[in-house]
Amino acid sequence: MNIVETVRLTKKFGDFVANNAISISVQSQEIRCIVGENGAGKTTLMNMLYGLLKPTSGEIFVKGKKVVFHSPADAISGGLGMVHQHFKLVPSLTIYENVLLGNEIVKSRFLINKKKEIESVRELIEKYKFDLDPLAKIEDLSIGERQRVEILKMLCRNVDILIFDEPTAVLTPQEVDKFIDSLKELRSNGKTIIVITHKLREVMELADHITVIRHGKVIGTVGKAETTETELAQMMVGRKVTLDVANHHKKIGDQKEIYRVNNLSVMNSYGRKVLRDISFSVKKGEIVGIAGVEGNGQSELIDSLTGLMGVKQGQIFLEDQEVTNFWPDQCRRNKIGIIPEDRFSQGLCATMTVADNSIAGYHRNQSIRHWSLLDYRKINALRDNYIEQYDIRVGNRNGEVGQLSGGNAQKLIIARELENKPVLLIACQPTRGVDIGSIEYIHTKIVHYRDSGNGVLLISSELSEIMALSDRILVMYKGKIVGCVNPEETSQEQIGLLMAGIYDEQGG
Amino acid sequence: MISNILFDMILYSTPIILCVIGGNFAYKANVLNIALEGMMLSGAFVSMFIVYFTGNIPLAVAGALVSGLLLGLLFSFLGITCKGNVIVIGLGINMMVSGIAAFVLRLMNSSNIYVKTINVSIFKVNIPLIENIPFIGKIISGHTVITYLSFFLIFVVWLLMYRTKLGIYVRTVGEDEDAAKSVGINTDFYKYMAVLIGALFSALAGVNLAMENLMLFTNNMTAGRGFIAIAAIYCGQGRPVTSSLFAIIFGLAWALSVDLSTYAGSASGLFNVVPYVLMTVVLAVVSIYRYKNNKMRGYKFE
Repeated sequence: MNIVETVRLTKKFGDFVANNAISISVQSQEIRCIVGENGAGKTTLMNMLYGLLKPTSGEIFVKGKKVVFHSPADAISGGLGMVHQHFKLVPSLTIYENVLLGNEIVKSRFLINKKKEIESVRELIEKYKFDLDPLAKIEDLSIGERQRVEILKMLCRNVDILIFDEPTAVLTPQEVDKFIDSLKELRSNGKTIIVITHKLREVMELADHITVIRHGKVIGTVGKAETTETELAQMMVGRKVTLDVANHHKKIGDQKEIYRVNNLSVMNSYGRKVLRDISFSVKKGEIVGIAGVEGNGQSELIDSLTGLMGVKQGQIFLEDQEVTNFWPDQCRRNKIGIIPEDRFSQGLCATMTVADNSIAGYHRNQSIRHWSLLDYRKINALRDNYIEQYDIRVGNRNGEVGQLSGGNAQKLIIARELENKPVLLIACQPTRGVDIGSIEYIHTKIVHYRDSGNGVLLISSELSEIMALSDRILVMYKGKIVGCVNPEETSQEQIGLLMAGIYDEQGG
Repeated sequence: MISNILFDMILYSTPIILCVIGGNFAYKANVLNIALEGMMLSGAFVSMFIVYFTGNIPLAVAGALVSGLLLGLLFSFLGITCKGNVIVIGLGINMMVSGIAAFVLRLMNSSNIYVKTINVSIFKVNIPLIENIPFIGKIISGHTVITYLSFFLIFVVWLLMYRTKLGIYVRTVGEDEDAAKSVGINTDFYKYMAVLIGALFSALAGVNLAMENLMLFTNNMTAGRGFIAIAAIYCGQGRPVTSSLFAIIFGLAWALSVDLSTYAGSASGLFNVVPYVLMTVVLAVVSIYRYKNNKMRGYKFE
């Protein structure tokens, strides 16, 4: 029986067709993966199923009946629940308050029955063996725990169909395994599961059937047994892709150190130590990768290295010169290139033009000035140069940067930072939310830059990216570096253990 | 002397507390309502206007509350439904109320509205037994009905904020609107409710200020109390009890400025600045305390 079925579902945003006549049928009690590149229209499709967007045309059938959902609440009462990529939890409230949000148990029609609420959430937790304390506040939970709260939230509403939007993006490899197990557990409890993802490795592990979407159209639906990772990737992109970067990991001998961090410790605004005694170095012609589950101090490390956060303890050296507590502008002038974590809040100014953004952070360069005023002829020439050299696809050269897709915006940042010839590049999440084509391109650029004798510090939550690019991997856990491994001699599982804080004291 | 100052502290705290506990909801719902001042002034004006012409006190209170609600609806409609800038709308409402009051006073050919026939002593409550306790009796007893009500309301608001759906939903809306929407909470409705509660309480504060204590309305008599309440809300981070404590501190400053100026002779005017200076200092101290560990450079760490 088809529990969910869409018939020629179409969604248009103005002239742009996000979903073009999508017909999918999902059987009861299966795990269905929907894969596609960023911008392929997966999320639009799910938002229509979940009542967040209204379809332009087409029909949705749930359990054989035609439905029209006007809001998520409608979808939930129709038996359809969704776990979003960015959790919809209120940090200052407790687990039980979040789980029962919108579904409170009241006494005397007005006041909330706290005791009964806690009791019912505790029962639910025990039923699914989720290992949570209903009284804990969300802000104190790890990402994996938050995800479980989000699932509980749906389960307590008695949904039969669960939709997951990029569920594993924020989990460690071990948490992913646990998550896959819970999905299978849920399936055997009679739930139907739809997972949106672009991580093909996990798709192969968990799906019963896989639907591939490209440019808003269904390319095909295949059974897991009848396909391979490479085939799926080709369906997603529409051409042959190489999943592995042609990177010849380098043996680093005794090349010169160009960047050194000594005993760096940092406290955050709440007075908690978020970085403990971090020491490492980057040598000439080396990519050093920093792996770790998000929230283990990587963001703070980047902020302190790039001058967004003040450092109290420890020193940072760039080629014998101390650069501790340099402001971002000083870092850039001292030949440290920075690719920030969040491209539109820290890397670019979305409402300014492409030209303005291609000089951002480098306004002082004499080469773009005419007497000490900015010379737009030179700046525009620079912009055109970047666009051609880095294959940045812009609709309108004179338009705002906000019009660019994630991949092209990221390429602009990379062009800007690399063309200013830094000796060290600090690259944070360089390919987050970027399409496969651009990922290939950005990876090649970074490897190429390394090969011309510079150092790269790569921070990423995508373990596969770190594994593919780095010559040496440092693993961070709870603000400390808990391991330094060689990617060629280490498996993903071993690094996963380190990321989860399980490590051999002597070896680590 | 000390008991006088403490008595006045409670007296002057009342309107601020009312604005604070009402305004807390808007603060928690992430709608900055700076129109508390105008809503209070409208409560003061409308109540005195009705008493002046009818002499009917319950009608005056009801009229004041309705005027507050109307302003609250106007603010919500423009700021929430039409998504206007709430600061500009708030300022507009503050100026509009004071403008209308000035206009009506002008038509009445008077600089104030004063009702001689009703003595304000009818609003005073002397609590039996407690009024006989030396020192404390003098401070606690003899206040007006709304004053006692306002202290009781602190508890009610606490209950409303932490033990009812309304409170949880308002806080959810303020903290993460998407989270609220995803479980089917009508976010605009709760924002409206948050603003309207503030409007209602502020109007009541105006009634207390003009009718209950003085039987007199002069334009702009609220003298920035609405803004002081916003400062108290900010200092207490929207927690009803903590914010009310800050409101009482500002009430004390007000009492000091009034009581000390009677002894100051020619320099008495100088004491009027005490509450405002204190407000600035307290705000700065709270802010420094809150951000003392902030290591982020160049921008506030949220």
